[in-house]
Amino acid sequence: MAKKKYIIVKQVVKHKGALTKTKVKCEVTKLKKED
Amino acid sequence: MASGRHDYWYGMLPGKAALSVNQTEWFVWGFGIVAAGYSSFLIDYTVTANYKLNIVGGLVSCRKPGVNIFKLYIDDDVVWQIYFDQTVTLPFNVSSSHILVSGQRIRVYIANIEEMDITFSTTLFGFEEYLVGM
Repeated sequence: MAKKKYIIVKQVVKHKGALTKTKVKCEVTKLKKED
Repeated sequence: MASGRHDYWYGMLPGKAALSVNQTEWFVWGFGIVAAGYSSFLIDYTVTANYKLNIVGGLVSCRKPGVNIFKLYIDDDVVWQIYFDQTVTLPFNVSSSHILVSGQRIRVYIANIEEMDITFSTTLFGFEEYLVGM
């Protein structure tokens, strides 16, 4: 099974009046020709 | 000049001049480097219980011109897709906001079909409304 790859995405969310800054690990997918 | 401020987008995020008592401004910003030939979701947000989310705008941009794909997912459906060079402005506005109810999920998909790694910045903004009595 191929190893999953991730990137680190900086995220800022404003919700219920509060600002949250996080770094999220997001999975990446290799594009196929039909993409 | 306002657009030179690093918080320019934060400053104009509510997208609505006046909010009612149960409404608060909302936004999600995602920033990351997508490698050549790869795709990722830079924003993944689920509307919390007892809230209704009005999306009034969004912007996707990248640091290098090229050929990229942007898709907007609501739950598991693609509701908007476009090939873009450097920026995309989402087709929402205050008078035709896209309304999501609690439990619905919105995601921003980016595919980098260029031959170099590219930094992407994505923003969705609007306001959320607390549903009184829920």
